[in-house]
Amino acid sequence: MSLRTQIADDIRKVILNADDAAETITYTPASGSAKSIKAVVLRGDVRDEAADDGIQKAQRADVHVSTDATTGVSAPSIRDTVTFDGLAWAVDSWRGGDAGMLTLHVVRFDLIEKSDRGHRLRR
Amino acid sequence: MAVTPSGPLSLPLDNLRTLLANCQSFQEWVGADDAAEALAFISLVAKDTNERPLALAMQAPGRGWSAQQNAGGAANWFSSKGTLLLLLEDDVATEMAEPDAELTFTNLVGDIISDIMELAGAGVYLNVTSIAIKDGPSRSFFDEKESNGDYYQVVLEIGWAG
Repeated sequence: MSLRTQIADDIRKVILNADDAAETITYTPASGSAKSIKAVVLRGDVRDEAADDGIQKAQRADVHVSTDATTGVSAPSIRDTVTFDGLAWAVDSWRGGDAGMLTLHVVRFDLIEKSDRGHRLRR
Repeated sequence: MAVTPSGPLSLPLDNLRTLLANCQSFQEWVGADDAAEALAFISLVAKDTNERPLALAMQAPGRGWSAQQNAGGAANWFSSKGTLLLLLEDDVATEMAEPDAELTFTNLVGDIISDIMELAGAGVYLNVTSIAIKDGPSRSFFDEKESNGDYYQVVLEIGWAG
């Protein structure tokens, strides 16, 4: 077994093992069908952020997936979405991909208050 | 709204609401039969839901109200002026591409602006002295669509005097 094959096997059996740190998410390409894949999701900060038109709850997460075209994501796009925790998240950017894994940076913004940036926040 | 707007700071905001509610194009946009019904679609200060169509009238922080005394011989009087913000938002029809999506929205906003120009200063309506675009028109960013929807937004600066 080559090192490349061994790494791919480890990704599938160890890193993306749902009995350990991985979970099943839904990946929906901007053009194409949704599919269930395994991923390790690192949930980031949740905070209220000031936008030009008010306040929104901003959530960010890193989603580690395989680059396998069938069991992972081989060609991400910024208009793709992933679903976990019962919520849809937008793929904002990604990095990696050379060692058989890809990290998707996903974001979600939920309205708290529509107003104006100049108004006092957290009223 | 439990508090009734009154006085020189709050009344212009309420008057803008009344002016907008009386615009025929606004009534058609929100599906209201008359001005009284259209009033329900216009919020003041802030709104905490994604319901659209949305019209939100706000004070313009930092560019707001001022008053000046005028000398009138035997009698002096104050005149005041200020700037209000009017945020308008509408959903984009499913799968509508550009330029149709933006033109649909700017056609709508343009009709409302025309109606405001026609009514302003007449009778009890707010004496609008200027209208300018502060922000937009802009479509919601891709990373917001999953949570907040696909919509167009514009923020108008409404100058008034009286």
